[in-house]
Amino acid sequence: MLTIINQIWEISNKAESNSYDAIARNLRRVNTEIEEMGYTVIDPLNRPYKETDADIEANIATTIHSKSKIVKVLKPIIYQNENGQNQLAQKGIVIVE
Amino acid sequence: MGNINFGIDLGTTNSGIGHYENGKVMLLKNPVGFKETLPSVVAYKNERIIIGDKANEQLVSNPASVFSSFKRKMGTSELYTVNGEKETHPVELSALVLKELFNFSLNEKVTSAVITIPASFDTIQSNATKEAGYRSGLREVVLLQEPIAACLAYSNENDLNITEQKKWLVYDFGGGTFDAAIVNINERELKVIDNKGNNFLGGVDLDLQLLAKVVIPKLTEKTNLTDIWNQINDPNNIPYQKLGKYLLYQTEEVKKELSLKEEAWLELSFSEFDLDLELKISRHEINEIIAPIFEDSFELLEGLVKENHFDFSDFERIILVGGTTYIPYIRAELKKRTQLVIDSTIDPTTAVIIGATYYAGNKMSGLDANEETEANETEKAFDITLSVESQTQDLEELIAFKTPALEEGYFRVTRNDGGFDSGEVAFKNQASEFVTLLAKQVNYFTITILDLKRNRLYTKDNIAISHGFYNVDGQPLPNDICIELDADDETYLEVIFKKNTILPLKKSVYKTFSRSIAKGSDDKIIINIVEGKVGTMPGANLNIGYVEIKGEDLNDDLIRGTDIEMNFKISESRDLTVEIYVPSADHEITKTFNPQYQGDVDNRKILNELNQGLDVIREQLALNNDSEDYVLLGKLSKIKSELEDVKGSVMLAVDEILTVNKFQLLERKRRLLYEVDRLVFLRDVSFEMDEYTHQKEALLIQESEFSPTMRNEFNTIVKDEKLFLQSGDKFLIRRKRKALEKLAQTLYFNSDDSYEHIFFMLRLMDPEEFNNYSKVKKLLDQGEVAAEKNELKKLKSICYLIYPYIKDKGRDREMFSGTGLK
Repeated sequence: MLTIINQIWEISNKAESNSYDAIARNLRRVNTEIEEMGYTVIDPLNRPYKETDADIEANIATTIHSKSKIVKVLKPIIYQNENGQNQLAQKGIVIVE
Repeated sequence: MGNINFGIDLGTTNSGIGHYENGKVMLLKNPVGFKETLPSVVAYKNERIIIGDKANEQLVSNPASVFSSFKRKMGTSELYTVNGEKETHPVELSALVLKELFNFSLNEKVTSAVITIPASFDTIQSNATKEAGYRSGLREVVLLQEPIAACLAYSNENDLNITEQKKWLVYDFGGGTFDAAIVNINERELKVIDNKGNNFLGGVDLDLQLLAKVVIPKLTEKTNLTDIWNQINDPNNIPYQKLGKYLLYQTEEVKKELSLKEEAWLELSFSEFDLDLELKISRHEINEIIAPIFEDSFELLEGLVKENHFDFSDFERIILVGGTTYIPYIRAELKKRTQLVIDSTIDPTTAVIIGATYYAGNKMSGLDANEETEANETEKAFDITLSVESQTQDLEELIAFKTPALEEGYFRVTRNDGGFDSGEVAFKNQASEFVTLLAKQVNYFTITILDLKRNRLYTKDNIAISHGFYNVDGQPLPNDICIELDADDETYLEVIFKKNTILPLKKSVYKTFSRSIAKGSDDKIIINIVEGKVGTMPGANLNIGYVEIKGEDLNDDLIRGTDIEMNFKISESRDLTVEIYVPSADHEITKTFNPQYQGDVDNRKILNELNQGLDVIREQLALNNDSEDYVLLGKLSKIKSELEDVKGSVMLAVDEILTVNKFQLLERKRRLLYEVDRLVFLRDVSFEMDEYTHQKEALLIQESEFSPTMRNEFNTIVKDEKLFLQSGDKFLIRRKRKALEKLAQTLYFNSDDSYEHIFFMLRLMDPEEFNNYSKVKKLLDQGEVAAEKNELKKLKSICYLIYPYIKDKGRDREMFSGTGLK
């Protein structure tokens, strides 16, 4: 399931950057279905980098400083909810600058 | 005195822990991130110590305070300087990794463990590992050689019954080290005869080589970028550094894909360099990179075999250990050159943990019971004052505490979903930590206080911080906002926005049509939005939005089972906007309702709601007829008569336009139905819960007859059972029960045996209940013969032939109009 979510996330990003409005509605529908299945997909782009955030796996391009932030997301963060409890299902793979 | 039960692989690049439970090995997962392995990396940052994945990610960018591969230095006097100040050493660093692994065990404190060591470790190195174990707080440490652990894992997991002496080769190729060992195995004992290795040979730089020798040349060829390799390795060239990280990640991904396929596409999309292309990489290209590394390892393996005067034919199999052995080329070459069985039946990255845990599960602990109990009871009453803001709108919140009785120590805060970990932070008397939150969720945290030796003194879990549910600055929803939907012969409410969520809100809801609507007809689909409480009768709630999709407005028919998309928005001033889109008919409607909206609901719908309420009352009156609860009976009778009065008034006004009188009637209806709900709520929910439980128990008796599809359906229905049984939503529990009933029906109709009973019931039916009874009679006669001969399959087909002749099968469905949405 995680692979499917990752692919849909990539397709959504491509559709957004290429203004594929024709499939926007379908993608929104698919994303809602994913949410209904208990998954929360988070895109951490532009989030400040914090070493306490265990939900990302950072590839650090420079030395860490107070303004380091996530500049590229290769895979989104995915949480899965079961019996009312969230659990990290996939760490976000990101590049930090 | 019990067994040790905990097995640990303290690896050069990764470590892991297993627990032996009820005769099985359980690989324990990191509560932060839920992985089974932990990078053996430690980072120091100010007062904070970070171990594992988060330390690993700073290995390149912050080398002065991040330490890895210290296993190679165990037993040496090597000292590491932390941030130019204090010093640490391999034993201390290993102890920190071990302590971190103990946190994987949530239910039992780890006091004794089996820790694996390479076969090449001498006495000093072995003692250093033991020392690390004791420093980490273990009271008992048993060492086990890694090749033995690997063999134990393979023999136990495959349930091998070894009755004669055999020799196995262990080929352990990890990220940074290579080890080969000869293991003698017989009925009673496993013993390492000899070993050989290279502490600086591993697959970790394979990705870099693939990037440098395959990916970058191809990229250079296809773009106008030049000198890419040098530029991505220039620490001052930030854009290329970023590109380098991106390329390395994509290279790792394509390498994994090439383990399964002969060729794969490396997809590159990097806007900063205007890159948007695909590169084809073949397995052959990766093989050319791995070949020299493999040759080095094979030379060691071959040397080991020859030095011990063996041939490969003297061995029964080769056991694979370590992540690098996933590479198909390595497996194929080993097979080709040794002609031996290459055993990769279990995950080579966790084989050593599994073996160590098997050993621990059968190794008696030397600790006596008192010591174990004492160790598990160290967390006594602890003086701490915690301060937490339990509700917030911010995505960061502070957890603060004071420990009057503890001068100095460490604390650690983790989020229970695995998304936050403060690491171990030094403090004096008091401290605070900013924690990050998931939006619109209740976030649960655990805080642990440790003494200076990092022994756990206090743990508090389930510290809840709610984000976005309630805040004095934002306006919370006072009630649930729900949509009315059809279920069989009644309607129910499904929540769109939950009570107490903060405005503004928006949500997309997708449903299907439960009946077809012909274009041009006077039939319609109803989208009814109410404010109130999910689980109550729709008519007992305040109508805040109402949209009809009329047949006369359609360009195409609406077909039952097709989709409808509804987008709901509520502004801060409580305006409700409903955007509706029907893809199959390309039909769009948008409507906004302000908070003063009083409802222009169709009168027929109001009548349906009144009928639903009256049905409930009649049912309750019948059920309670013999009881002596006269107060309840009196109240219900009074409401019944008032509802009938409202119904009469509505019927008179069926075709009238909206009037003030109608608003009053609506309000009166809502109040009366609310009262009905209130009176019957508890007993209804309790009744539905009992019915559900009985239905589930009945179904479970036939569990062995479930097909795989039915099992999936069953699991889907009972998933989150605790939550829906506690929801207080009788309609939801009823829907779950009905779904179980349908499964039971499927089982019943699937079984040939059922058709004796079904035929019997058909025979009892009155001729008037059939169309064309003469044909039915003939079929019934044939059925009699089949039943006498016990020809159940034939009887089944006769029942199927009779079924279409039954009159009014769908009468109830037709009478119920509902909303048209489900």
